[in-house]
Amino acid sequence: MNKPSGKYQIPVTRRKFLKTSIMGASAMALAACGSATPAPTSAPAKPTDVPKPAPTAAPAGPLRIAINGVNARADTFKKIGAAFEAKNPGVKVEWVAIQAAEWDEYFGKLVTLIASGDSIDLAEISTEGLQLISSRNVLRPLNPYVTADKTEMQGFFSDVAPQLVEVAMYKGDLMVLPTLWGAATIYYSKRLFDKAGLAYPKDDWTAEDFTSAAQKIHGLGSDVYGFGFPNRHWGGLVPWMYINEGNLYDLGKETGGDWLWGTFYGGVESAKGRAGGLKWGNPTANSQANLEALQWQQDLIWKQKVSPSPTDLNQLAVFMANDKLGMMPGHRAHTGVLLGAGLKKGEFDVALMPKWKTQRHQFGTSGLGIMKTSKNPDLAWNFIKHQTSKEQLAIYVDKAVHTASRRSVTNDPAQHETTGPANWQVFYNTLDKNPLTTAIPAPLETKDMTGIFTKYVGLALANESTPKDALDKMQTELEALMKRQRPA
Amino acid sequence: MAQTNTPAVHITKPSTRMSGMRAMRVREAVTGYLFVLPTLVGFLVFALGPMLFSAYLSLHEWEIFSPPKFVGLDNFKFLPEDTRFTAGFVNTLKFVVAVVAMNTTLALGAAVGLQTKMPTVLRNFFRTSYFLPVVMSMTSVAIILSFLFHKEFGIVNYYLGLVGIEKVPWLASSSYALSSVVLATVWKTFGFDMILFSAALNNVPKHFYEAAEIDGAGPWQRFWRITVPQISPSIFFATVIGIISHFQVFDAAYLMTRGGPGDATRTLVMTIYEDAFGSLRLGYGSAMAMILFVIVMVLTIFQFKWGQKLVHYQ
Repeated sequence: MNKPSGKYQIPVTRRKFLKTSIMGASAMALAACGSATPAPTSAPAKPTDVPKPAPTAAPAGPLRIAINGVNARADTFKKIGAAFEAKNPGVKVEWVAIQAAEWDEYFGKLVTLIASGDSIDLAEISTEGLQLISSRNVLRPLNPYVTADKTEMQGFFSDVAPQLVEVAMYKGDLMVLPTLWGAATIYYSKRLFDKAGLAYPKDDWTAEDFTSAAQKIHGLGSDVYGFGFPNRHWGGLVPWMYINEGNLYDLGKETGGDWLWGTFYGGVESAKGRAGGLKWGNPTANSQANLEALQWQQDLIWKQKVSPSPTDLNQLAVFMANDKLGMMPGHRAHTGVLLGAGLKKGEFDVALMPKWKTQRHQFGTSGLGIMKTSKNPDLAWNFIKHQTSKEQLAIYVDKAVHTASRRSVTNDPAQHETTGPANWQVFYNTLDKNPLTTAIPAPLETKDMTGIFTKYVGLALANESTPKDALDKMQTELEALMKRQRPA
Repeated sequence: MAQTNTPAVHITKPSTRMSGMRAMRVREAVTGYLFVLPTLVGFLVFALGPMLFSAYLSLHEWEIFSPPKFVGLDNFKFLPEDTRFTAGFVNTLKFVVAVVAMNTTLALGAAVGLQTKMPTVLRNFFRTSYFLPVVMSMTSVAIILSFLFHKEFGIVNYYLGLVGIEKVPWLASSSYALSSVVLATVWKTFGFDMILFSAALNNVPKHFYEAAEIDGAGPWQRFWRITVPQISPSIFFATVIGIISHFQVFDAAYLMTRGGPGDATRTLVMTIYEDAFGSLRLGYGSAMAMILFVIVMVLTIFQFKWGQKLVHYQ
């Protein structure tokens, strides 16, 4: 461009203005880089070392709670928050509902919130992210709070299965109080079972009974399928691996936890042997048990043709509502999904996973954790107690929104009166009648593990890989991942 | 000689005149810059600033909970060995070529078709129908199409079955999944190009066609020799914008197939998102983002240097 002549020269040239602006932007970016260094955190404290903060006179700002927004309705949050505010005058509860289709999306958004300096007092932490978030030392262990409120907490722990509590622990510390959970069970369409002349599944039905039922339902029509399933971390292949005594990793126990088990679960049979949390060891993806499970699932689609190609649970519910699908996996929240898809109470029911080598079910759980940066930790703890109370939990999971950690809420007939299913005892029986039931594989590197897992399972289910090849490759990648991600 | 009354002429000094004009020019300049300031600030804060920060992060390891650690070019060195990155790059390239080619062809065909003689109501109906998908949310489109494309229960396979075609595993097979995502994207986006081409076609002088007809040119000849050159600036623009935007494909593939089966529909941006925000490897994700930026920039420069030769400017 020609330089303007002296007579008409504009004092601030375009070039100068742009140069100044870019320098300003660079300075801003460098300042942002400098501030992208959160304060270094110290090593995790041992249970006895964590001091209970001194009570604060007045809350510093509203109590901000990040939750997975899909798990409950906005009006439910308002009710629970309003009840807490009524008990604590001067306190405001602010919900930060993070919408995410999967838990890894939720944690990505949560972490972004934290990194942006957004002050969060409490965050919902699920099994999928507990080890990652806990290892980053951003949560306050609940040990001193639980211990200080021992009498009050006795009621909670006596009402919650020990399997749920163990999964909420990390290296001996209790990181969250389990609030919601879900074990994969089998939802079935009573309409299609009746049409096929099948008896409804009993608790002790076997894998052969299951396959036979799927085949008879498929016999109703070429476009009617016996069993549909997703390809995902929870509810896909893992339940079938578990009932065949397989797993993605060697499963051990972290040390510690005696402070909790001795105090709250003394004498409870199913709590014997529980320790400081789950310890996921070396990958075992290509074990014989897993191979059998994947082969069986592949055969359902390609040999027996009783299953459609894998699709998400919401779609499966729509197919079931339209009498195209006889069975699908789900937990109590899927009662709500099936009702929303058009099925009516009484047209479907639920059964335990069939028995293969065992009837060990898989579950995930979630609860609120107190952020270390919270300026209201005491208030945050009070909110946790409030939300996990029988009364508030019943409100939270009303209308089959989810499964409550408290046995008394999940097993309350009133909870299932308007929604069904009739066989609702199955939900908590997955824990109470099956002490071996345990959490989905969720090590530190769960996000990457899930990507590798669904990739190779997907290839096998698309018949583009043999199950053996798929699992061998999965094993190799999981081993490499473990070496990269886990500190020596 | 009688004196005449002439008004006194106020002679200003040259320096005073110049400073007055200078002040006016300063005012004009400042006004101009104030008008562009919102856009410039938006660009600096939401585009250039994050780009510079991303460039900084690409030389570091950062997982948010601890300070960034300088690692130099290590993030970039690992990229060629990362099969997810290479799969994402190849898939994205295939996707861009397919979508841009199909969009341009379909949009041109639809735009030319809309020029034919038809009732205005019908013309408006077609124009609206083709453009409506553009304003729909990709999330809704992906959810609906994943129902339509379902192998066993989808309506597409139902109608194919009526004409004797076997069920196609649109989203359940590596051979078809990427094509399904391409089709979904083309359906949703070609309407935008069609509007561009329609506007350009309206500006093509009619006498060109009349003269060509007189000279004996047939419909195809008129199309290739007159229509295409005359609207070539719009075609060029649509191609450049299409390549830039479709290289950043994420939502369609993520919502319909999550990158599967295997890595058949994995895209570059999906890999960046999963690494940065899923696995908390922001440094590595930023390195991939820098590579994507360089690729798109090089392609755009290449297009401007080479593509300009094919563009006919009046």
